[in-house]
Amino acid sequence: MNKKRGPSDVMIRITGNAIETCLNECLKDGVMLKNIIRQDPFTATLYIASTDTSQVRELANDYECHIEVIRDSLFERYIRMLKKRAGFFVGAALFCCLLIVLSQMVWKVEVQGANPEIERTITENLEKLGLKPGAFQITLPPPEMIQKEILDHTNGVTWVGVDKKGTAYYLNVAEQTLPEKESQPPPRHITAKKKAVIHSVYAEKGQAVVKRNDLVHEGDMLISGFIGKGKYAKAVPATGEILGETWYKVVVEVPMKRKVTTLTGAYEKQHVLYIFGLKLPVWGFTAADAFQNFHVEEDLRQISWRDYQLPLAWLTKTYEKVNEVPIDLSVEEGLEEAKEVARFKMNSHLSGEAYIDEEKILHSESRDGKVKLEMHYQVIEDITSEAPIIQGEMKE
Amino acid sequence: MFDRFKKSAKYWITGKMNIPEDVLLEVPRLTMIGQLHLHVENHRGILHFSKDQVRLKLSNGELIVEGKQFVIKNILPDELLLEGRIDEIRYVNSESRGGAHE
Repeated sequence: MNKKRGPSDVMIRITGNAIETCLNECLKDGVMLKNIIRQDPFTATLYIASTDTSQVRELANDYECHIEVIRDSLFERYIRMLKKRAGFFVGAALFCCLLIVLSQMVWKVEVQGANPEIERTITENLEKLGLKPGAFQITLPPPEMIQKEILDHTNGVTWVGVDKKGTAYYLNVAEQTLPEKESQPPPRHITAKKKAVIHSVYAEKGQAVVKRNDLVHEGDMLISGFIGKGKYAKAVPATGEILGETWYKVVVEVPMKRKVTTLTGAYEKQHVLYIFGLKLPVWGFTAADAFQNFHVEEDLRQISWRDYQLPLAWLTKTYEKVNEVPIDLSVEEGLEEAKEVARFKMNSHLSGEAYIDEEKILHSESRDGKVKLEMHYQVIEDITSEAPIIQGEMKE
Repeated sequence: MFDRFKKSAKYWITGKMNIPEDVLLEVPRLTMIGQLHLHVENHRGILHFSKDQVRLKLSNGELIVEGKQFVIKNILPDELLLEGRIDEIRYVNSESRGGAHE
């Protein structure tokens, strides 16, 4: 038993003398009647399914009753409303269609990892395939095919990864990296940079002309660029590594009495606010007077937005308490320290693979509260330098 | 004669077999929810219907319902749901000693 009115039910009014009889006949024919209300002895209103209207009308005519539909079904009324707002619904439907169509297009093609030249050829090839912003995705071959096509038609590309993310295509390009052609240097000799005793000889190209323990002076030839004999003779760019023993003298002076400052760990902080260059202490007014000996650290935080510096800054001053400790070294201690300083000085002068082989104290003395030290260092270092071969030399 | 026999047989069967009377006997079954609803099963049609009174034909006589603001919510060939304020339900027996009417 359905109490509710269905969406296709219409409200009808029945007028006549024999309404009850008419209704009984309707029932016999299996017409569903709902919400029957007697308005007055000659009229009643009721709901019937809209499909039954004609049947009920025929029956009513037999019993001299008149029927009129006084309210259309919900369904009909809804359709009428739809028609009234047709513009809106058409618009909504169009919008959905547009959205679907636009989402089926390619909006972005991005080539990553290629240099401009290759990127251009790839882009051109893609356009030949039809892959460019504005193309429809259905017309395009699948990413694997695109990948293959691009690989086949582009030189200088080892691999292309085609990624489709929504409406965007990303191409990851791995360029072919050919081994760089080493620039062939012009023929040359290797000569000594400074006076040294040869420690080791390694001639990669060219002919070594020195042996271990030879003494060489600056400009002496170490590796010759001429190789071969007679008609096979030719000049090559000599390369190699020749380590030589060189000598340095370092003089250092170290005072024996010094003051060293150490931080105690106690500190006071002062916060200062800068507004348009105006200093406004905010916190820690007494920080500056807290310690007798102190060390100040400033931390300035400026507020900037993009490229603009706002006229606001926050300065944190940290006053750290400092202890001054006098150091009084003995002669021996001073000497040790002087040695360390000298070694440090020597090492900072050396470069690359050079190392100190031997060290000797040449002279040391303590005078006027200072230790003066003269050190001699024997250093192993690369002594090669290049000397070009002039073309004319060959013929000699 | 045969009708009467059939009828008494039905009475006898329902009485002995504990079957609900409305199943075999063609009597109406009324279900009422307070004064608000009246559900009638096994009626035989509407005789009269107005806002204050509904007269239903039964297999055996008439049912008269009186009240206010009657609306027949739903009606089927043998079922009816009446809504309104029901004040009175009355049976009118048209049965004569001689046999069932109609």
